[in-house]
Amino acid sequence: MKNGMRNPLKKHLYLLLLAPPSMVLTVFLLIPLIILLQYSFSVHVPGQKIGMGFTFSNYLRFLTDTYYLNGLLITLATGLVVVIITLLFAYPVAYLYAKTRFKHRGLLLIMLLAPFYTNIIIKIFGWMVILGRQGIINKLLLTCQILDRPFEFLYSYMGVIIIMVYVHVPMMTLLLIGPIQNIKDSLLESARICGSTTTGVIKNIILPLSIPGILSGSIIVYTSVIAAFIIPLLVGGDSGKRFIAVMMYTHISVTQNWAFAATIAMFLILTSLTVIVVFSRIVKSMKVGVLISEKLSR
Amino acid sequence: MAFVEIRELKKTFKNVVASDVEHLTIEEGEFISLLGPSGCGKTTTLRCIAGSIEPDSGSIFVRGREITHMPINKRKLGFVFQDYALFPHMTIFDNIAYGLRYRDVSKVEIKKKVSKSLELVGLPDFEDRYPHQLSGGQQQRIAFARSVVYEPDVLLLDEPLSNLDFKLRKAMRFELKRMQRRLKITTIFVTHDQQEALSLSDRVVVMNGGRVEQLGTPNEIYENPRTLFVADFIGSTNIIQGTVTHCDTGRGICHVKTSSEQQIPVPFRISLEAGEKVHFIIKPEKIELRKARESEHDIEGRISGVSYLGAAFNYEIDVGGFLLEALDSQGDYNTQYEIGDPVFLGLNPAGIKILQR
Repeated sequence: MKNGMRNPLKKHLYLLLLAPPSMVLTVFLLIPLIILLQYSFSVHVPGQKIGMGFTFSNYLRFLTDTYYLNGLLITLATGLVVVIITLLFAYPVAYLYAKTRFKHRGLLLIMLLAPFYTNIIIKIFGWMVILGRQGIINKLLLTCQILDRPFEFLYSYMGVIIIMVYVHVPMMTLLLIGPIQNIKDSLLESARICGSTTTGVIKNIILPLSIPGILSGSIIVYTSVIAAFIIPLLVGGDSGKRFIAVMMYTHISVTQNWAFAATIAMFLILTSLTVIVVFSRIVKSMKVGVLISEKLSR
Repeated sequence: MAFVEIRELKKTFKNVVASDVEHLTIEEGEFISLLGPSGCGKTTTLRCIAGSIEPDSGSIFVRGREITHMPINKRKLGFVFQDYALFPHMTIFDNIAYGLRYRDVSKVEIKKKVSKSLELVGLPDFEDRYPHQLSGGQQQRIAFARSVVYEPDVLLLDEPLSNLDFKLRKAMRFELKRMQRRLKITTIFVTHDQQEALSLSDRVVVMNGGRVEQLGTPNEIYENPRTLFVADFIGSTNIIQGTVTHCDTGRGICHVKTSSEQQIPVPFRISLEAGEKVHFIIKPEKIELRKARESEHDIEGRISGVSYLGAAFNYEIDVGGFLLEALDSQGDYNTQYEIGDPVFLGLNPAGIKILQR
């Protein structure tokens, strides 16, 4: 907002435009969150879903039981692993898409978006077919005699990682395309003319300028990964039960202890928020803030 | 061998000739402009030299070293982009130092060179700022500093002044020339603005359709255009196209019939054959306006348009249906005309150029 021009009418217009989304958010997010907060402090009554009264015991239980703390830790670590692998797959694709001179880019975009049109359950079952004991990957590895018996991809931690990465690569790619497209070719060219090698251009120009995209993509994928429960539930086997979201699911649908499920949810929300805040602080201190502020002032 | 030499450079895009430069040599320390309308091949030629476009054939030499197919970063060139292309995430210091980091220069030396070049462009103490905190003119100076700090063999400028406003553009023109003189750096400047080209360059290359249309000093280009294109492109020019009906050698006047059947008497020193097809080229400032006939060469006309330019009046004169442009910079109210006024055009035969078809 460099020019400082402000139409007084605009302020009212802003409020008017903000009204519907803030109403929706209040009714469908804020109020449920408050109810959830209240649940998390209630006492579980066996046989009843919704607890009663007020207690800190749910929080004490979570904080003193290493089972849950480990679950949280495993979930957060998995999020990090998935984000890193997703970035490694998504970045080159996004870069190629952003810089290609291919005429039918729309076609590439449709191909990129194709997985979005498919339900996640179907995607998971698709991967089960591919990764299963009789799946094509195992068959291929067996015929090439790399393995002498089928490898158990499914119902393991590895299966969870593979499918989580697969599910999130298109999203990450989409989030990276815009920021990469914003890097003007003349910047890369002038770096080259100054004498920079290709690795120098990547290291000094392309990657630093991609950080806003990498950051926003990573935060979105990270929060999506740590909240995911279907993938670990369906393909995680025993290791899937160590995910905090699966634990929460178990407390809702199996033990029917909604009070404790709400407590787990509160911890999940808190850690997500902390991660987001810390992450953006770190990146800001890396002077990327300058970049973002430049974007805002345009 | 010349400092920079281009031989039979050719580049086509989808069968359209973008650049077709037969031979061009540039001396050391020379400021040369590639001038032409958009699509004339000036930028393509510049980019072939820079290395961001690979020519189809031909060769480019700098300092006797062939660079035609050399990687961009090995060419030892400087380049100032139209959008300046400063690295937005780096401070001004890091921007300018960027090229030095890829050369064998010590840290102390880098510091010295950066502050020296900041002084050159008149922006000392700007080291810690970021590009977005600078105005367009300042960014442009930094871009210049960045591309000369490592002392490249040749400096390439791609319309660096076109994003600036009128006043700044004029100021930067002097600035650019001053800095180039001081560094004595061989410079190739691409522009579509003939004023920039004429005022800055030692020599101007006028390009059209990928080819070199004319090469010469600014004065030669302006005063003696060799082709119709050059005459038309450089400044506003009256071009009288027609067929010579007969020449009166006694009075030194050739009668020309234009394509729209108007008869115009043009004073000229050389006798032309009747029936010859010619273009007469008359610069607007070479036409003198008179209230009364002073010489038998004077052409009679009527003012059909006046535009006030501040320092001069620009008149449009109707000569028997043919429109001529005249520039009167006398600033004298006595010589002022209104639309509809009869006027006599004093044409100095020396100011009239002829192009035979």
